[in-house]
Amino acid sequence: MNLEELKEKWMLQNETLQDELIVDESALQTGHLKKIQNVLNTPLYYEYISTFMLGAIILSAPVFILDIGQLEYRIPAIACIGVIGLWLSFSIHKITLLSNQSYSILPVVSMQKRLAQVEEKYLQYRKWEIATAPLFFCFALLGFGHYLNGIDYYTDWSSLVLLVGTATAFAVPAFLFGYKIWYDDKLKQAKEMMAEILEFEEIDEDYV
Amino acid sequence: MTKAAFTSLIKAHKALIYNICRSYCPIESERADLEQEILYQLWRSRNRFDGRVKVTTWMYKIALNTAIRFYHQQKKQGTQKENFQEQLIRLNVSADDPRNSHIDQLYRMIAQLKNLDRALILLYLDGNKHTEIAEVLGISASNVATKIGRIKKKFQQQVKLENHES
Repeated sequence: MNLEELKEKWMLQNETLQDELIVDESALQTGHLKKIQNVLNTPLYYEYISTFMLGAIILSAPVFILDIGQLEYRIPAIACIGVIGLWLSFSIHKITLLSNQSYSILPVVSMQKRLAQVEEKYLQYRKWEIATAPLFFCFALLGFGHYLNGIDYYTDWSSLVLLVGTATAFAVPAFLFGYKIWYDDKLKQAKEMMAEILEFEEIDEDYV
Repeated sequence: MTKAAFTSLIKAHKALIYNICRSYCPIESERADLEQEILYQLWRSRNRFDGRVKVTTWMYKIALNTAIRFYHQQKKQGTQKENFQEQLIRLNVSADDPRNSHIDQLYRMIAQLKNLDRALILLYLDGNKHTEIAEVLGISASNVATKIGRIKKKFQQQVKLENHES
């Protein structure tokens, strides 16, 4: 059986499908689609929560920073807030990327290309979030660690070694794991998708 | 578009949605998620439909874009989350119906194609002209013809192979 014959059978099947398929009309008429919207928008809601929390931290930070008396501790605390500010800007950008998707405007190939580009951009933000996480830990432990427990890390070397050791022990494996799982692997898949789209767009000269 | 008009639209083109879901998600238990995502995307875009293109062109664009994206995400995650249990478009007869053996064979062959080739062949099987397929996909009509020719050859080889094996 060739494709033309299969196509005929397919079209006949489509006619019977119209009779054999049952649509749950009540679900479409009631609030079910709103429920779907809530489930599908979960990543977007996470970004909203993250933006709110990061914004709240930045707004409350001056109170703690002004309370840190020594400049050598105040600087890492400010740097730590700087990293949070960077994350906040990433979150806002990610919200823009996630919320402006309408599948009806563009043809399939252009839309998929745009989505693959958005995914790559999203992953770039994620890469910088992961890359700045160890910096954040170091600055936070140094600046706010002194604020919370009163240890003078610049004179108490054993505490500084313990602090740096703890930060390294947690931050480095977390960084490597996060980089591989949340960035590198996903970027590879996004690039594969883009390669597939570009290949599809190409006209096969050999075949023509 | 009112809720009633939207429901009528879905009822009129339920086979289109069903075929796309079945082609991009061969495992029935996982199909509800894709189906509901397509329905949601259609519902979300309902007021953007201005009648300048055929309603099926508009539906194909949304449904195929959603299905390709869904399939890509599914591949990325490795496993399917299964957010929804129930399908809103259900088949009233058994899937093992003997009348469906050729169609099942076709679905199996479609499942082996790449993402965008699947979209192309679905549009072709539904009886769309090359120009209509080109409009939905955003490639030239001659490119559509070339790709269909290539897939036809591939399918013929597969049919031969399956017949030989059976």
